[in-house]
Amino acid sequence: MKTTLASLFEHYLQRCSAELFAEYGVELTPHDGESPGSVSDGVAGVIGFAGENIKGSLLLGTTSAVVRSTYPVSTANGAEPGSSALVDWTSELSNQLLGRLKNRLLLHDVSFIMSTPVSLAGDHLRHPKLASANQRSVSLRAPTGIVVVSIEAEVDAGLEFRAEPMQQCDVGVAGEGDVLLF
Amino acid sequence: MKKRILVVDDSASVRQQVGAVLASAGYDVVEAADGVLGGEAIARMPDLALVICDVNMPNMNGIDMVAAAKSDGKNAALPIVMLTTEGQPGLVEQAKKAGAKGWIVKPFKNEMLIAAVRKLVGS
Repeated sequence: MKTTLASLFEHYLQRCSAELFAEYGVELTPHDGESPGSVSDGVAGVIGFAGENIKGSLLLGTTSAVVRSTYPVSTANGAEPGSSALVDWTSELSNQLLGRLKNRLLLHDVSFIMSTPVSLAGDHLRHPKLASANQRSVSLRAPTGIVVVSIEAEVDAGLEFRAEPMQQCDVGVAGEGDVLLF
Repeated sequence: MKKRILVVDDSASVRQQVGAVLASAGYDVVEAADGVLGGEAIARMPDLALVICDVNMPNMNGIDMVAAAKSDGKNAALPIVMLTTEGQPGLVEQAKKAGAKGWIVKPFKNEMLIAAVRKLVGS
């Protein structure tokens, strides 16, 4: 991964995560402290992507409490969503996060196809220290816990991208919340 | 009689979220979890007023589902709207060519979703 592309990833991971959680009423702020070694009641969503000169995956790791605070559906009689609903919603959050990241990277001429996400839940989930130079990770604080988002990508030498983003209207990328009727 | 809308998405949470919004606006909502099941539901329910469909799903993606549904002349007038995280112009164009009537990027605003549905099928 070229350094500048890596810095783009890091910038957009932080920005897109904060924007996405804000859509669901949760403020994320940068977390500079130690990330938790392992998390009880943890959840993680993973989604892959692949393009002509790039492939990799995005991981969103946090706690059930954080995911619960973003859950968009009011349950009958105010009951809290069950664990299977939270795991499903973690998948969807990782999907929406990668989609948002993709929409930003399209403005830099970086394009890929997204897979469908998977997620898991468990006690003592641990986010490993950076395992390779191609991994970028950001740690963010929500009112109810820490959110770690990381991306690991293999980038071919032939990948060219724009360091400065094009205008969204010039590229024609539809933005989050846009409604287009044909 | 309430108008019936099919919501196709591999996320149960999203189906529930969209369903709750549409139900609050007076629509009857049925669900399917991927493109294959969505296609089967369309074939089974000739009274559908609208389909709202994700793009990236297992088994069959949403754009292929639209193309398959539209290949049957009985569904020519059935409006299908994509609801997805994707904003890539090439995908929007593919969906349009396949016969989709709209494209909404997640996360959606409830009032925008309802306005789009009302425009396509009425109250």
